[in-house]
Amino acid sequence: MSILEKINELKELFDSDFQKIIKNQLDATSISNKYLGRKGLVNTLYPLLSKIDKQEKSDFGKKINDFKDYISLKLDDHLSNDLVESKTSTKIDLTLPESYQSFGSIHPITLIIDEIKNIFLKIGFSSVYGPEIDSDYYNFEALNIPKHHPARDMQDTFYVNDNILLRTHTSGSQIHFMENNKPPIRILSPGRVYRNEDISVRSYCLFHQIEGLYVDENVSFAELKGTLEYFAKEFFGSNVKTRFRPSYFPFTEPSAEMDVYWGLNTESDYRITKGTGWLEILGCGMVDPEVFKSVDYDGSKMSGFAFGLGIERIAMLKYGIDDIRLLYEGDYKFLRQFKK
Amino acid sequence: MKISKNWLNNYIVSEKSDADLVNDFTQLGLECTADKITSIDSNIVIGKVLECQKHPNADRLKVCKVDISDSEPLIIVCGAPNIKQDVFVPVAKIGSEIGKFKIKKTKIRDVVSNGMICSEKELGIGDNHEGIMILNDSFKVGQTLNSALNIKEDTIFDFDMTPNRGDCFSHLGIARELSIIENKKIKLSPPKFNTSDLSTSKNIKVDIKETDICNRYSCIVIKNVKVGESPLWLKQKLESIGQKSINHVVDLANFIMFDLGQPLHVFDLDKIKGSQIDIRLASKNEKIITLDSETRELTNEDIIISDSKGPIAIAGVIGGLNSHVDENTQNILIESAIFNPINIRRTSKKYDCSTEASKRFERGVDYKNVVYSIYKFSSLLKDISDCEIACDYIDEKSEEQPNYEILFDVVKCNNFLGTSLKSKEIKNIFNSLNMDCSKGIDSFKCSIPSYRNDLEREVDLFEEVARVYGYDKIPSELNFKFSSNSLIDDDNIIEDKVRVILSNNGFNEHYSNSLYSKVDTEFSNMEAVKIINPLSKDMEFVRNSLVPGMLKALSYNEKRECDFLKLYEIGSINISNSKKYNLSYEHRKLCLGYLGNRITSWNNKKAFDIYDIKGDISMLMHNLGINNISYKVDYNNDNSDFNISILINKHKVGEIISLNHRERKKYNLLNNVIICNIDLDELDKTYSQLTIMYNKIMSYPSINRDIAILVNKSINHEDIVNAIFEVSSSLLKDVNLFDIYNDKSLDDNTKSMAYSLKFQSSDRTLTIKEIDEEMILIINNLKAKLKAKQR
Repeated sequence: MSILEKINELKELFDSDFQKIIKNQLDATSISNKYLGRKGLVNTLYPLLSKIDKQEKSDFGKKINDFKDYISLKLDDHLSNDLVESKTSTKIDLTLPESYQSFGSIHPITLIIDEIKNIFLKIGFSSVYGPEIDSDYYNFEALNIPKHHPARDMQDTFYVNDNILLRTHTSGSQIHFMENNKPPIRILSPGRVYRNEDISVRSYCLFHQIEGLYVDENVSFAELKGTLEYFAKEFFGSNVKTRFRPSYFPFTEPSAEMDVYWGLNTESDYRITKGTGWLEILGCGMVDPEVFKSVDYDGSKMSGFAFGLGIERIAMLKYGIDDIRLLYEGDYKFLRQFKK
Repeated sequence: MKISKNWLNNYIVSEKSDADLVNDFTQLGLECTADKITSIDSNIVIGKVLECQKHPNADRLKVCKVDISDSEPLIIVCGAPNIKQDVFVPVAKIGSEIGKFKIKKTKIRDVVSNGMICSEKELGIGDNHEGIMILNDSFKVGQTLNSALNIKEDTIFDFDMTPNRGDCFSHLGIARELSIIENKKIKLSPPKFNTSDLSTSKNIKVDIKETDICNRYSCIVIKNVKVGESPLWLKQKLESIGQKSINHVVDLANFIMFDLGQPLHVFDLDKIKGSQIDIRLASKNEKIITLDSETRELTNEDIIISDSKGPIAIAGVIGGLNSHVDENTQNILIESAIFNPINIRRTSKKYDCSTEASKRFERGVDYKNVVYSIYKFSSLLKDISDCEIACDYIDEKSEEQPNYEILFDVVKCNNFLGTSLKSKEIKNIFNSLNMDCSKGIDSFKCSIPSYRNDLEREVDLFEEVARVYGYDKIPSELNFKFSSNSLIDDDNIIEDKVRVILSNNGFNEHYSNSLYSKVDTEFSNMEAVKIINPLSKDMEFVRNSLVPGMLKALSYNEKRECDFLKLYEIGSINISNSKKYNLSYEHRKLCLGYLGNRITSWNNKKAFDIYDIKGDISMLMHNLGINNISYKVDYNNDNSDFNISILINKHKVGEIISLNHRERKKYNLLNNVIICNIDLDELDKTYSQLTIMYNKIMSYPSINRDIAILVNKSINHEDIVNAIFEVSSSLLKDVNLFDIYNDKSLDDNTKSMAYSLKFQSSDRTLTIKEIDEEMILIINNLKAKLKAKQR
């Protein structure tokens, strides 16, 4: 009888024994001894190897080992199955709560700023930061808003003294950056700004803005539109409808506001869009030549555009937040809802 | 600013729907909303009071029989004092609506009333509510009030005007914009009226004392004006845009301002002392009582109109009580002028007195409209009631305003906008804006209308081209040239890292109000920056620490039944610094706040303590790649009362503070609160210099030895570790505390500390003998240095 025939014979014998184990007619441990023990049946195969060619020896040796693995695997599987089914008392109850975890969150304002930063980072806008307490020059004068200009009525300002104030917008970052850098410029500047306005459901004494600035040779209004439409598509989805309409900011000319079509499906849509379906998202425009003069750029060679958007407003729209004060109270039931 | 569509019809008629007009105006840069005003209910008709008798059961009521030319006269109960037989009155029939009020048949003190006789106010066409409206008896009985009074439905546009478009602060201005939409021209007809022999210049002399305060001052004398109630059309016009009627002279002056944009001022000529009027800056100590009965102390930046005795008006802002028109006024002087916008703005700000006139002067009024405005006023005044209009007017100019021209370059404009407009298209646009263009195709001169004082530079014309052409028609382009020069590093990158680490480890990010009260600023000993015009005492300072904001949030949550919470905030604080241009030094800070001291869940009832916080700090630092952290106890009273410095490379970067009961009380906190305050600028200094260098992993087996020692409780863990390393060779790789043991079997001052020591070599397998020798050295040193006993 060849080794192969002998292995097959033993395999048939084991398979029939194994059926008996399943039917509880035999004990798995004694069968394990019968085949795999020191004096077990499998060990009787090894002496046969000495009678065959060296070439075939390793082949058959491997076959015997495989047969050994086959037996031990089947027996192990059987034994471990047995264990689970027999001791039902230690079964896992996964309906129990997980061990204590406090679930962290990121503030909605951060989430929006990050999302916007990432969108613009893809087209090469890096982030820079300006001071929260600034001078009248950076916040107003250098941005073509001289003292006694009616445009100052648009922003109620907190003053530290006649000349120092809490910035009312992030636009001053434009001046700080351009004073220290040469074009081409492609920056965002997120940050906290302050307005002397009573606190209510819709307004707070501070909020956050992101300013954007792009300056290079031959930048056109068409590029302003393209850039901001790209942003709107990335942020609101590729089906978003946008429109640009003329507006006025002293530091841009022409100035524009970008609206997105919000729809008129609910009563709140009517309220927030004043019945038009359009929602103002950001202010923008081509950098006014007066601003270039403030930072000693050659306005005849350089052109550029700037834009600014209010983060709270966008966060409130995106997350359906109906009271701006929630953003600053720190109620954990509110905060923990913001992840991603 | 409110604009009536019916009023606009005087200049230009549009067939467009209100919604379309709102959209078209908005696309031109004039953001607005529209409100439809319905005319008066057609069930309100002219009635004639046939009989008027006292109500049988009420002294003040009357029972009237009113003919409205139906088959039967109506019986109506009326309480107005001025009701009487034979007058013509507006009658609201059963079923008609006045505002939101529906007229029903009602019983008033046992008499059935079949309708209502109305007052002007009830009908919304005037302010008078002291009695019912008595109508001219030439009207036909039964005629609807609408047709009798020529009341039409109207649309009121409410414009949110940007400050640059002073020219749009009138119906004429909006009509000019509408003419762009409608592509029609508007015409101004010259007013015609008969003058008398009266001469303005013989009555009044005008002198502009300083050239830059008043560009132009015109005035005209009108005599024998019988001041009275305004005619209905005038009342209605003013009412429609939310203005109150005062008397026909004042109303008409207001009408001209809302119509043409030129504020007029009316003086009572007989109250002007002397015949000389000066336009000058006020001198110090001069005072005037203004129309609102306020006494104003003037300064030398206020422009005033003065007669021989002193100020009679604050120019362009508000009139004086000493020269104002009242019911006894007979002779008037009408002023139409242009004052320096900056002075007007300063003055109106200073006196907190922003008027319809001052708003227009601040934004600039049309130089060429000054005289036309007093003409139109005069002509309308004479139509309303006969009066004597002077045959001349005074027109003082400090300087003639030249025609203004701007050179325009078509190629430059197209490059700037990204358009490819032809010269002819652009000229058509300018034409619709009433700008004349000189000959020339690629470049030409545009003459700017006198009312467009916002157009000064070529780029201003680019905007005009863009807005009339339509922003939406300008193509979009996203075709950036790549330029690496514009790429820079984000200074706050560490903040993003910190946020992700903390939020992934159970911290909730918080943003707090950064305006603090005095008490809040006292948490830090650094001086906070003070605001001179705060919203309230609670928000008088810019924060000098994140801690109070954190405490307020923890307190807010504690009140809402939150018993354990980990919050953090990242933000700027400002410290007063007189050397900086902005008087402050801004730092970026991170603040962690822990509320409560027990985590409770079904399988964990663990007390939360300082070692958990140390774990959080280590976790944060480890994730940032910062390793050399140590702590220094600055103050420690007991387990829950301490102040600890956090050090990186022995340099302080922050602190851990437990809040004592007094500080907790300030913020109404009951539970344990621990705050961790970290300077992000300092953290960033270390972080930005970090480099990662790989250490070779040792492949020879290690040997572990455990020792347990008894030491005095005053000995620190660190002392023991130092004593172990002090005498060991480089083979000792790691010392791990695995147990601290306090027991009754030990005396009160002794504790047992158990350590596992790991020895390993990078180039060989260690022998037992080597390790035994090491251990003897170590144990001896512990005994010698720390009086330790081996267990």
